[in-house]
Amino acid sequence: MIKAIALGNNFLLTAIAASFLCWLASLHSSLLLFVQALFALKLIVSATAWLLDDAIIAILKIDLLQFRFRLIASTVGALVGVGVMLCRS
Amino acid sequence: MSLLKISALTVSGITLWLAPPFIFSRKIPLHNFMQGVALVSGFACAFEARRCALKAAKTEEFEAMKEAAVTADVVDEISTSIYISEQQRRKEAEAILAASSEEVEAKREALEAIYTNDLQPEVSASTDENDTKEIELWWKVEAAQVQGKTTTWIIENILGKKGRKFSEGKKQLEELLKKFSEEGG
Repeated sequence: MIKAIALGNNFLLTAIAASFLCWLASLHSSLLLFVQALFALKLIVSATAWLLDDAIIAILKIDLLQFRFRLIASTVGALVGVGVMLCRS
Repeated sequence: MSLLKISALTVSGITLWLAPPFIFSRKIPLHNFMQGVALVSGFACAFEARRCALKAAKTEEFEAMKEAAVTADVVDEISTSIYISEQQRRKEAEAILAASSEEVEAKREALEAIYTNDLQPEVSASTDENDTKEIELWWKVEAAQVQGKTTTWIIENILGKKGRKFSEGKKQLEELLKKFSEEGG
């Protein structure tokens, strides 16, 4: 139960961070570029991590399934956070 | 308490993340600023909830490990006591068996001694002694008879029965005569 709450909060943190970045992006055009760059970087890092999962799990000493779950959860969280800010009035 | 705190922080984080973008207008500067503040607050709430949840999970795990260790200790203690009592019972049983076999052996030896070694030699020895005496007496009696001694003389001098014991001596002489006359004849 407690572990599930902790995992849910991880997802929430990612989503809120993504929403905050979107809010920052809405303040100024240069910040929009900066946030876009950040999201692009996040996408590249996620893709690279997905490809180099064997090496990364050896460094982080975690299970492959757990690593993939974290990768997917962070991506989905970021997408949900962005989606919330895009849907606002 | 910890779970309540974590739940409250999580709900607060979700509320502060989802509510402001749909309540406040982004065209009004103050509303826009409030959205940012709410997002930061929501992030802080979620972060604190995550930290508390991880701490509680660690504590829970530690408690589970402690309980498992105590259970294992109790199980180990019980199995040790069972083993010890079993060994004691086995030793007692072995002692009883050993004692009973010794007793049986002792009784067997005693009976063997009574019926083979002790009684029979005594009986045979006394019998032999009596026979020897009787034979000696018979030889003397026979010698006296050959010499022509009277019965009275034989009773008084060879058998040694004088006075009141004369009748007893007479009986003894008759028995000797009867016994050795039958054996000889």
